[in-house]
Amino acid sequence: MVTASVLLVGLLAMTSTSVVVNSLRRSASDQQVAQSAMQAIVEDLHAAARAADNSASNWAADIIAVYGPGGIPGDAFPIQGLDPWAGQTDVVTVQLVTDETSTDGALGVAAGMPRDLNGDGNATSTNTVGTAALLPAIVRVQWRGAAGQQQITQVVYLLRY
Amino acid sequence: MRSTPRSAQTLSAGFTLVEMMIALTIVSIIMLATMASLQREATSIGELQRLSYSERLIQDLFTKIEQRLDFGQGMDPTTMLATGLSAAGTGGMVVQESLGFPFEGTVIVEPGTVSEERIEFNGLAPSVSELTALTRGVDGTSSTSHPSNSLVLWEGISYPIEEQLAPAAGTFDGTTDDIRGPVFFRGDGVGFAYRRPVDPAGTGTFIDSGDIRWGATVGGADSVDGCACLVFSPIAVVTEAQRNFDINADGDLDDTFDLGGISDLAWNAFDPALGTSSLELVSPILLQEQDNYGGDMDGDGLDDPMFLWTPDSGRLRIRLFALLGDINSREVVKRFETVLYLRNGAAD
Repeated sequence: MVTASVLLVGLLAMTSTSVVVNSLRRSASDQQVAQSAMQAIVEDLHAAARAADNSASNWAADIIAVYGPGGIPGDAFPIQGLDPWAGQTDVVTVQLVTDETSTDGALGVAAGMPRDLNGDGNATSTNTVGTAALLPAIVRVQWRGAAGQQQITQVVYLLRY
Repeated sequence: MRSTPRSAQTLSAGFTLVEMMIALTIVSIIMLATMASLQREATSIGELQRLSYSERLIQDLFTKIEQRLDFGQGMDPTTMLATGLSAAGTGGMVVQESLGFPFEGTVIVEPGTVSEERIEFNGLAPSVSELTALTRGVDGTSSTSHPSNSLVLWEGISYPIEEQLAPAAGTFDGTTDDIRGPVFFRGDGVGFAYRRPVDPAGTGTFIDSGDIRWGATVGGADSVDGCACLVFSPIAVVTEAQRNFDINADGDLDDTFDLGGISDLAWNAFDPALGTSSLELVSPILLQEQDNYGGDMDGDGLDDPMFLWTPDSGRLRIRLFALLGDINSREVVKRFETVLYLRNGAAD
């Protein structure tokens, strides 16, 4: 009986190890997918900024037309291979900051806000859509995996050339 | 006569034969289960390691590509026939501009028309803008004649066409899904031609008289005459029938795929005889359907070019399908995708 118990405990330990290894691998794989998605979106934001009309009046609006509400992909969208957080439908959110008076505390990231986004020498404008020369974008990838709810956040600064 | 109680009999006699047999059977079953479990664990961990390794290979590939292209400039190997080409001609085809075409490869002539033909070339004579040593009618097409000014593009290139709302038939080769929505594109998209800043004299700067010195590393040395491309390089063939697996999820087991890697080719764009080089960037685990490069690989009804280049925004989307092997007795084909932003955009 003692031998049988020892073997049974060993068997359970191995099964548990297998589950953990599998879960860790899945978790690492999800992390990789999320990081790749983050990189792709950041690069795509730069490409969108380059393709946008270079005039101050249209530049930010052109980017918002792609990565803002109602655009394609818009400000929230899924990523193939990643499950969203419970109760949510999207994995990625993109927040374009056009209010110079926003604070890092309110945005929840270290984006160096408030700051001058339109080059007029002050940080008082609450809407720089028609004047922006700098557009901070906060990209969040939030997914649910073997290790629970995960999130990575990156701030990227888009520049009008 | 007093009889000894049964419990006392057992204690004095040790285990009975039946009890021993039962105990041995239980121990044997547990040992067999343990061994089977061990074997399964070993196999499973091996498979997972292989899967992780393959995933890492692709991430390494993306890193290598990014290192090459981050400050690079995309090229546009698209041109016209300078003179007509007969159906039988194999010596060469003269084009209006050969810059960006690699020293060997395949071109598509008159894409999207009934005269579409794929022609393999094995030499390049830039001084006379000629692609030489032709093999006609490859990749499932037929050899036919082509008038001068026919569109010629390197099969590697794929780019979104201008009209995206309602393009006319024949003006595009496929439609692909993208985070920016569906995109109509021209080409096969199994390669990307580029140049990057070079410093041939080792002066420590890529700038010459205020301009970037563009070129490529050919045979290990920077050259301002150099040009380079990334291109799918098939080395083996796999069929769905052999593997008993519907690789592209189209509901049948009839398809055949080329299995290969990505090569970084570089050549002297003024005279390839002065230097060419080729470097494999990844093991051959990537798939493309034979005679349908850039076609649908995941059964969603939309095409999947490996490289989709948007010159206006400097955006290069890379989408790869890798055959990762047999995991838990199931073949695994996984899609990998990234977007690169080429800060220096497209070459003039």
